[in-house]
Amino acid sequence: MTTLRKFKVLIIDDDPSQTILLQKIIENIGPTVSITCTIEQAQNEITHFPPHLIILDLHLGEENGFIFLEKNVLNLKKTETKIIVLSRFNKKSITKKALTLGADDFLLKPINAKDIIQSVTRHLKERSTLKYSFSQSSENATLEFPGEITRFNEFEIILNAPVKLNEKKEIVIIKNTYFQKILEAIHLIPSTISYFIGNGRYDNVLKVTGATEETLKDMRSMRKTRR
Amino acid sequence: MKIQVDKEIQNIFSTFLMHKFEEIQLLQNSLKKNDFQTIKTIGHNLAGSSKSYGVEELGIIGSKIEKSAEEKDIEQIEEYILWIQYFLKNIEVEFV
Repeated sequence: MTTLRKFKVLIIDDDPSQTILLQKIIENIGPTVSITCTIEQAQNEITHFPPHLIILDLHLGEENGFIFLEKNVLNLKKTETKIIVLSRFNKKSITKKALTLGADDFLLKPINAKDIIQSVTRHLKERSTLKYSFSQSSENATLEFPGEITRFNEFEIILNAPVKLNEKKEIVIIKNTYFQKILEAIHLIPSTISYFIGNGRYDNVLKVTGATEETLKDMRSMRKTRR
Repeated sequence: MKIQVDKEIQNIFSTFLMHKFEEIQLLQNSLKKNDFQTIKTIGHNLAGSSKSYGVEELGIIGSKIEKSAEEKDIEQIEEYILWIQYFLKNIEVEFV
């Protein structure tokens, strides 16, 4: 039980009787609980105090839990936030839609303490603590890691690093004595091609973009010098 | 009218009952304004949470209120509100 104390659970439900019961059940097994009644409040909460797990009621007065999932699931998946959906409607189409939109579990109401405890415990144990630190807008994350440029030409740079780069988002090489001037004049975008080379390291192929003719010329001449 | 409730939730059961009295007030106000959407939401929540607390009777009435709100059946909703008031006034809770 004590291992779950470090976790934070957010309940999104507009029924105070339901939330007080859920809060009691969940706090009894360790996590701290916060409660929001609307999608707007929930979005504010996940931006400023990202939870490890969300319990989302699909029926939120005139609002709808599916809208919350559609708007937020991508960001929540980046932070490994687990989502348990609650609904009174035992329909396959509803369950399927919730799971397709990114929910990790689907529980039927009326809630049963045993089911809630099992689901919350399982999903919190499955995930580790946050791996990324997000800015307040929760759109940007910064991850710094050591790496080495092992090969390059005017089209690609091979970055050997303990990280596999899966997303086509710009990589900034903070410091490299040999290439510094060139790195300041180009943009590097992972091609999503990376090769595991053992010992937890990957060769990541970074595409060179935004280089002027002059920079490309510099790169070619540096390549010749290095040979 | 006797009901049995899990003693694990004894300390929050009075809050649950307090919410139900507040919801009666809200139902009456919504009915005056013909706000069937709010009535439907209260019925839906009453159905979900009452059964979670083990108060099946209120849960059943919650479902009926939800349906009556969809049908905009004012008389029926009024009857259900009276029934909830009677139920809450006469309820005897045993924590087991």
